[in-house]
Amino acid sequence: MLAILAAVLVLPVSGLAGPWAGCAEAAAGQKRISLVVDFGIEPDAPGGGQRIEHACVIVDADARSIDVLQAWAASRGGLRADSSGMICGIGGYPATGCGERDPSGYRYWQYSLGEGGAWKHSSIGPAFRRVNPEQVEGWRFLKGAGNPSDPPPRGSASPSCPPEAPVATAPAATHAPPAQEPVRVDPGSQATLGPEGPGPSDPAAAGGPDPSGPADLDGAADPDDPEGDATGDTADGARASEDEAAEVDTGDELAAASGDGEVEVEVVDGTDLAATAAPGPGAPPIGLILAAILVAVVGGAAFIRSRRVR
Amino acid sequence: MNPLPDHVAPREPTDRLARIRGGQGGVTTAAERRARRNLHPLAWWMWALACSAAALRTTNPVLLGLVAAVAAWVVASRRTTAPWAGSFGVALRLGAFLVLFRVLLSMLFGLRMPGTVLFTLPEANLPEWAAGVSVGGPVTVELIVQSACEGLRLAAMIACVGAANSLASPYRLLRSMPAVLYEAGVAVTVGLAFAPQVAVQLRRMRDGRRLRGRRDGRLASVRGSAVPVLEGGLERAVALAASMDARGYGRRADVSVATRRVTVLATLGGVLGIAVGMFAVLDAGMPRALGMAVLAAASASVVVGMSMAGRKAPRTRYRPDLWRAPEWVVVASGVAALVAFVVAGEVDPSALAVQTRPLEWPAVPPVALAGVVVAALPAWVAPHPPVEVDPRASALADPVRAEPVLVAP
Repeated sequence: MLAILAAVLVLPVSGLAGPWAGCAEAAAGQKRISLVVDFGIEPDAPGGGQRIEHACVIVDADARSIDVLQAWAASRGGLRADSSGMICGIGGYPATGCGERDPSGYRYWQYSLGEGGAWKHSSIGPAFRRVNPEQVEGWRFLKGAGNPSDPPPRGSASPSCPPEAPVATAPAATHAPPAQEPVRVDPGSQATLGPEGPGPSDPAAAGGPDPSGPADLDGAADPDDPEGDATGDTADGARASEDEAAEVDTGDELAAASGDGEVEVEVVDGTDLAATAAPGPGAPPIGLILAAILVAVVGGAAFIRSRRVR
Repeated sequence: MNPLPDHVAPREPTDRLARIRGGQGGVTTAAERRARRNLHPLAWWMWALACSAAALRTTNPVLLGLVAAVAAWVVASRRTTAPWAGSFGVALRLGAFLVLFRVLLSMLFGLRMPGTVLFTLPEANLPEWAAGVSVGGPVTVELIVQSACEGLRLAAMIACVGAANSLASPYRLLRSMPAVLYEAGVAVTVGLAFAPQVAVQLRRMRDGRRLRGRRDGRLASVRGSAVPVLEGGLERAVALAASMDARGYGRRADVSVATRRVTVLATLGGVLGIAVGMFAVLDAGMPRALGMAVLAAASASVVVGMSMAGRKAPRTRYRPDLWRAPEWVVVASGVAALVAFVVAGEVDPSALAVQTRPLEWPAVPPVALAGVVVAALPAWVAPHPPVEVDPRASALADPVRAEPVLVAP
């Protein structure tokens, strides 16, 4: 089983040179951070509940997690946050409201961190975290109880851009040290594999790599998990593109499917924070000017009156 | 809230003083002088608390500025010559200081969200366990605007409370306590009078020591005078208790055991119900209507319990403050502002909060604006305060002398 999984992981890598092929080398003093933004499955979600975006954001080494999200969202409608720093809207979704509550729960952007293929809820906000290339910044819009039992993002919980020099070929990936193991997790291939993956008859799998490497991945992609959403395993990716995941059983189909089921990892340059900042407001509206004049008149009148009475 | 019998006429200013001081600088007719009285202190406080509750609901700088300006206008229109009347200026200065303090604090420890960077403070790298705290870092326009608006909210609330402080006599307020808090009110009054007594006693001790030729070493002096001062305080307390006893203080009406039990049950049950109701209202998983119903029932229970407990302390009031139409209007104007803010928040929640991420000009919600303007009504509706110098006015300066007036039942 492990071997099969490993083979499945490696196959599309050899065909496509990995999804991170476009992820430019980060210069000294910079880091490449993987980002997953899952717009959720609410009725008003963009992309009909299927919009899950993966990005590789290059930021300064001392950047905060919020800078990663800001850099990504800057060209997509920006960020909306409330005074506490809670993220209300990403890329213009939702257009209004912030953590609104209705009888069935809160509608909010949930913040998780993916490491080693598993999602974990972040206990602190993105403005307080320094980026860590080994962790995926995960965002998901959902309606839930607002606690860690809510489902994590449906994207890959393993970094889609490697922390060091990217691994370009399959053999290198196969023999990579365990530290780089998450690199080989291709969300695209995961998506096409799904819980009902190929049986143990695949010949390519037999000659597969060392089974000790992707052991944790096996645990992560546990096909016995009845509710993929609940644990944040990589099988969630399969639900994302379930139309393709339905009947994949051979290596050929795998390769073919991974061609169009590939998760696009976009590269975003977030090193210039000033460029990603939201533009300032324009001229003040006339109503505001009138209201300010009213405040000044009342305040001035009070001052004059208090002087006169005295 | 506290309708009092109005068989007692309000005290009229003495003609001589009225002539000398001349009110608002104009001519005062006899009718006008008769109309002069102190508004019920509770009315001022309810107006002020409603205004500050309205201010609490917003960080919109325009609305907050207007709330503070309206409070200033009302104070300027209706303030007295009492010593506490000048406290509004202090409140405003405190508010301004708090805004500055808030901005400084947020520059140091604020939330480091991306934005338009003005300058960068040196940043401390805190260990992992201190995650969630940041010290120093880039200072953005958004950060400063946000913290200034939050400071302004506090300043506006302090301005409202400061307005009530300068408009209403604290001693009159103490006298208007509901019956159940009567004993606590007396205790507070006696306590207020206690501190100056200790100072007097201490000075007397020191004079005595110096006359005896003892060296006035600081530590030795404290050791030597502590016991006599406490002794003196105790003696005074006993004497005061005896005199209050002789005047009928602490008299308890006979209350049946059943009534007492119902009182305790209603109060305790009400307090518990309020706790449960609060939880139900705030928790997302519970129906809010149920929580509100529990909250309302529990509050009613507490009110019943307290009014029943009040029966234990039957007493009359000496020259009670009046509660007439102006009081109702003053309270209503404050509540109107609060309601307007709540409505404006329901219509468009983002209009009440200043939007800093991304930075936007503050909206001007017309409903809330109208509410604040209505809150300025007391400047015209409330009766002018009497122009004489109230004997209670000197109470702050000399609580010992004023004490008999204060605790008169």
